[in-house]
Amino acid sequence: MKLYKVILALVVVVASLIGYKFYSKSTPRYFAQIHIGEPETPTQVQAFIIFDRAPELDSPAGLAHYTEHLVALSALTDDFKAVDRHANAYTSATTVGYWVKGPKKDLPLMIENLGGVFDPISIDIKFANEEADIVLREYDLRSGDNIDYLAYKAMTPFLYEGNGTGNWLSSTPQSIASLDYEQAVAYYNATHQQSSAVLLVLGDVSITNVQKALKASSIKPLTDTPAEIQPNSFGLVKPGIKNFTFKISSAEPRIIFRKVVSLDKPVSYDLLQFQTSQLRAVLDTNLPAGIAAPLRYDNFIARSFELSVLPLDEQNIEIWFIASPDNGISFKQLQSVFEDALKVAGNGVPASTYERVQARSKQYWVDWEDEDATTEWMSDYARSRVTNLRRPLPEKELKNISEQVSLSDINALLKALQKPGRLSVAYIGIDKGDDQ
Amino acid sequence: MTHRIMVCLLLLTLSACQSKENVLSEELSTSGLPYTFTNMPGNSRISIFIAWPTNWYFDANNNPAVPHIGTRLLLAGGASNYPAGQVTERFSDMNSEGDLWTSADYIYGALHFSPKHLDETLKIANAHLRSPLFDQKWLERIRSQSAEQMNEHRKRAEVQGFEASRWAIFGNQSIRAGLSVREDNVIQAVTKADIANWAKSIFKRKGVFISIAGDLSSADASQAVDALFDGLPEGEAAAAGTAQLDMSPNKLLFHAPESATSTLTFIGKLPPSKDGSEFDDLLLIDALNGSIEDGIFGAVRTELRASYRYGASTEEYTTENRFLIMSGQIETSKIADAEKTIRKSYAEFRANPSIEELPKRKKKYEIEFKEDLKDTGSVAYDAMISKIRGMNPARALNLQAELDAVTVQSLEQRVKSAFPQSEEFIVVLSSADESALPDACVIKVAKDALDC
Repeated sequence: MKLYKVILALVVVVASLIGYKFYSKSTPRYFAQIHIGEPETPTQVQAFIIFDRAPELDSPAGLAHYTEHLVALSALTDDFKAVDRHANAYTSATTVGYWVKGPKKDLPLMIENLGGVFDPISIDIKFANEEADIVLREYDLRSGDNIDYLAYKAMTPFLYEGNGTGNWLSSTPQSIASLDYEQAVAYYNATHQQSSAVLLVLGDVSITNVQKALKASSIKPLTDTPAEIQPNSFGLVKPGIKNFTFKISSAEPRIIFRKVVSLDKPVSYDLLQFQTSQLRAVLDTNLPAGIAAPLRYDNFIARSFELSVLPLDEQNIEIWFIASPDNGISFKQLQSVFEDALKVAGNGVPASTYERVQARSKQYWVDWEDEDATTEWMSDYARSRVTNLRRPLPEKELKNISEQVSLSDINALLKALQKPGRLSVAYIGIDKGDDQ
Repeated sequence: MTHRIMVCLLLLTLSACQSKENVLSEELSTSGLPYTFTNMPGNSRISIFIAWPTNWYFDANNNPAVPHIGTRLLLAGGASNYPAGQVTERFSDMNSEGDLWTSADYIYGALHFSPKHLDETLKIANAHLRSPLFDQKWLERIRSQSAEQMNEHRKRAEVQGFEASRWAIFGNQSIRAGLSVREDNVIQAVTKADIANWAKSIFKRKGVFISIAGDLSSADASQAVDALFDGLPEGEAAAAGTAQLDMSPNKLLFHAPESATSTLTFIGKLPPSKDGSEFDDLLLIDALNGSIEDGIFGAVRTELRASYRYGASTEEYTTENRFLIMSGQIETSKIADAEKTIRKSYAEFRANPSIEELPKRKKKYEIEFKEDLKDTGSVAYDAMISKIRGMNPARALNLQAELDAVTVQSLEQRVKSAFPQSEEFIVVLSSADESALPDACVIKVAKDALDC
């Protein structure tokens, strides 16, 4: 009796292995890459189709964004109208993407509808040309009266000179007004190829579920070799400084300080993301090597400030600092105290500060002990990676990342920030320093 | 014997299942403070929400800038034994969070922390309520920043449009100033004495609403509440402020020659939230907004091609006064058509909402409820707000039942009984084109809405 059961179990296992191998070999490819990530909520699924924005083709400025509008209107109208599904599209510095979110059971329907992005744009040409006006309304909404946005627009092309990501906010009312249907079709044909598309599904689904949905859809398997998907790399051109002044009398006085530097050696992207998050957490403290003490508590230099440090790729990082000067403090004084504080930190973060910040990782990374928080974080993480054409790491590998970072890594980043790089400062409002 | 073992196992299983459910009760702390307590077994956080009644904005003798500056100063400026800048580090070490914010009728407070840091978190919070430093230099810092931020904000034409609407609705009543963008001279006039008087009038025991949620015992919840309120004076109950509204359906055009955009807004009156029907209203607003081909969004974006984003929402200016607001930027040359289109679209909706697929429309709220029931902040907040509205706080654990009660018939009745008629809206346009809205009263200063 027992032997019979053992033999039966072995037969099942072997059959599964053969079946799996057969299935894998014969599984058709539909996309250059397929990724599956955690869901935002257990009963919902969100599916994305993502393309490289191809910045060199995004001209006149705003063309990629305008095309995205037309493709979404052409492919996703049913999902826009559905009361229990939500759909949208986006254009970022690196990619153009389309997504639908809805009940898990509707995955096949969502995949079918999303596949519409591979079909030629099929909306009325007059309506399509009018959509440029809608894009202009969107431009007004995002930029109108938003001084920080205007500063960002001015600074980015200089900081990212020589890189495609530098041009994604270059659209102007004039460039948008010049856009039309024919240009959009040309851009679409050059960029929205299935062989270079990435599918991301965030949901409690398996690769088998997704393959089944693809097989049942009108999306055809690829006949061409899928493209090699590479994230954008960043090349820092020669060091330089360019500042901008927005002397608007009604604006709250503030500075926006942005600096891009290169590291001596590349660091894997996820590791660098953790390192820069931890560095930011160290700097944004009232502890030794933190900037809050010299700026806000020991002295009244900055009434408020925000800080972030982020990787641009494996070997380049950017620091952002936005601050409003205290009464009687000039922009230059504020900038000088900040730069001095960074220099002091660059001499080495004390172990006591580092250990204290290390213990706070739940605040700047993820609380691995909280299952729900982890699921939500992994969902955001997958979305953030894939929409930047990067492969997300599995949870097991991410859990080890914090153990791979030490104080010397943080100090190395601080040293790098002292090197010459691309620096741009925007001075907004009236400089009311006592020395003016 | 086997039977008895099975019965015991079943009972144990059932009791284990039951112990995972949230349980809400209304309690009295050892020191006599009433509070709502929700035991949430297995949760790693504790949340406390507090609402202190206030009528500060309703009194013309009070400086309306004081509450906002007071809350910022209390949070940032340190307390007795806790110099400014050190508490933030300690809170970060403990992964504790705290906040205070203002509204017309309440000053709200919130704390979130892990059980092992309960004692220290509450000790720090109590110190800040009982003996904040209100340092003069910190006051000047916060005051000057507030003035400059309000200055930048005030310059936006759409902000002036809303300012004008508040002049029209509230007139010269002091609540208008409380709800509006503060003038520079008003902010700069705030003194340390003002803040101290305000704080003394607010942070007391009488009349306060307290809600605590987390995995803790009833005894520990009582201790927590008493620790937070330790040493605070009993105080006097604050009588709720009242306001008289003028909802005459005027058309106002705030002329802003420098503005690159035009914003068109409709403002109408709704019954207060405490009257109920919260989910009828939410579902009606969703349907009114519509999508790419229907509702006011579809009408303005797809039919008229006049806007990227236009939509309806509700806004509670005071507990008694809630509004339906339809607003968005519109292409200036299409304003006149937009006004007609939006009114028509709204009128048709109100006459016949035709809400199809109601079960599907409810889905997103059902998903939200399930997630919220795991979150101590959501549960504590919902329980507190329910109590403030005079409702049973236990509804916070079963909002699904209220959602289930919404039917197509209840929606049709609600829209007719509670939503304004299309001709009852106040219409406000902020624009560089002073002729963009026919028959509008054109003003260059928000206060001139009084003369329209």
